[in-house]
Amino acid sequence: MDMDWDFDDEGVQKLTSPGEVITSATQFMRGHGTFVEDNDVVASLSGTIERVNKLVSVRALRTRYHGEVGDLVVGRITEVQAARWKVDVNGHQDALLRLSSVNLPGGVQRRKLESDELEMRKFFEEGDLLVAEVQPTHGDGALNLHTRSLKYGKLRNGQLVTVSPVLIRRRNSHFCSLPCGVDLILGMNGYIWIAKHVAENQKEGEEGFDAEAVYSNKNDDIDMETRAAISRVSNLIHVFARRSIPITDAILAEAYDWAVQQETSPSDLLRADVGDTMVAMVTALA
Amino acid sequence: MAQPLSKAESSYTAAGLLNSQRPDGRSLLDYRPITLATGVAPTANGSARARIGDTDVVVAVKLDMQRMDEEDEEEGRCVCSVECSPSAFPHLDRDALSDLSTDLTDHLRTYLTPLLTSPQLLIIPHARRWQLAVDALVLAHSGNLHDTLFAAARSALWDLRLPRTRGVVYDAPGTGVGGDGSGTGSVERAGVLDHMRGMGRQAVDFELEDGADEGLPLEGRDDLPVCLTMNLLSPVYYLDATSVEEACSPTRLLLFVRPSGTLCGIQKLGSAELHPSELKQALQEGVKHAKEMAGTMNRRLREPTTRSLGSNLGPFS
Repeated sequence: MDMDWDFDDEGVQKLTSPGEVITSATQFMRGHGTFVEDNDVVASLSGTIERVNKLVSVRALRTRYHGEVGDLVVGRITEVQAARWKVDVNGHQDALLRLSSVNLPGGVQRRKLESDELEMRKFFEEGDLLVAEVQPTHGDGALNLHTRSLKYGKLRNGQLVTVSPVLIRRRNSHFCSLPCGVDLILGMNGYIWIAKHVAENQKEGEEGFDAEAVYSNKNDDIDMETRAAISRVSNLIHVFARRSIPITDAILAEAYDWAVQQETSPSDLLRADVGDTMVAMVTALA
Repeated sequence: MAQPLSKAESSYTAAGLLNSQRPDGRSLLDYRPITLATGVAPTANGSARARIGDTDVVVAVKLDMQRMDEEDEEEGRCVCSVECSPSAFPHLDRDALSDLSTDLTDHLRTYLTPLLTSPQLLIIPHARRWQLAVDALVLAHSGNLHDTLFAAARSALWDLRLPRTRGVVYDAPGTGVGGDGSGTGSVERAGVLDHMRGMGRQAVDFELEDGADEGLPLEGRDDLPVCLTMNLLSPVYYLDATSVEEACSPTRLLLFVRPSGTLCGIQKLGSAELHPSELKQALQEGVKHAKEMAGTMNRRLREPTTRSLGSNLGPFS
């Protein structure tokens, strides 16, 4: 069987659009994003063709986030309910964060009391941003989250950028530090948190668990250079996202250096010509 | 209207704004790129699409013949409707979305009604006139919806073509005028007179001189006002706010300014109080910028373009 349709010479996966015949149904099995018609496997989505052995599926180019266990996500609280929070994670439905899946003041192993349930808004309230990990999901596809690690929890000192979830690749660590003094959290759901760099030894809760600091709503003092760096990184992400280029810390660091060398102001990057030049330069280097 | 922000986010943004540093690095009075395209809806008499940043609005104007009754001189000159696509506001439920649409519809009607007094819209005085049905659709929202909506509405009115009409009178036998001297005695025979003479004889009906796509542009279209939203976060003010920045400003002022620099309308959104001295400064600055924007918009719209293709006029700032 000729497998040319799967990959072209450079190993780039082939794009397809709805209604396009992908392959013969007698030899392959239909997966997500495809259906069988007249002994052919036909795409029902526009996206890239993926094949695992005999299973052919199409991964959509524009989609909401499909959770997988262990993913790191950035989310926003939409609702406070009985002993749990609803979290918007850019998925088909809101994810759940149980009161029992967060760290509470006074020790990680502490039992949840009724009084904790009454002051849930002290920990997270509507609109709050948090970083969490996906746990095994419900039967209906709703995601369960947990923040039971000192790395996870409420976000502050920065701003949020939203891109399509397909642009974020799964990798060893989604917590990145750029050389320009900016920390990135690349949520698998396409929410990216850009914040002021916090040195490793100054992170909250390193010695014991400091609930005050972890659930604080107050920002640190952020100087103008850091703010400018955060704006620049956020604009770079916008530029890459608009051109559907996957976002990694390496490409961002590269682009940041270029932008500083060219002495462009952060807002210049929003202009189409500057954005094009930047993308051309950076992708040529990569 | 906007998604709720976390306290840390809003204080971060507000602190930045107070230091003249916006989340995307623009200066406080910078606009994002504005894109205008006219003639986007082939079946409408005038249409336009405006984008500011990622906010995207389509407006179509359709003409309708309306009989005028004595009492509704003012009412019903234009029928507005603004629809917000749920995909533009994913966090709003259906009720909130329809509230928002109603609000915007009211704004649009208040903006348009005083503008449409042109005698050009009369077909037969005291009897028939053109009614404008203005429909707007919000396709995407990332802040500064009002400016985008009114920019689209203005460009759609710019694109509008009013068909020329002729008054028609019934010519009774024996009273024939002018070129209709050879009256044949048929009561049904209608003599077509030009518009002015038709008026003198009280025209009863009209006919179109132009086809569907032809006609005259609206008189005074160069002088239509633009809308400019001033976001006030005492003591600073900023233009073209993104959704996040909008959530940080307690007061917003919509200024309607003609290209000549005449301020012809103000609307305040938000419940915070506003000090007169602050208002004065904001108005002066706002009018200056709106005048500049209106001038640029007129220049861009005047440039010869291929109308049928939905000519792209932006981006400019």
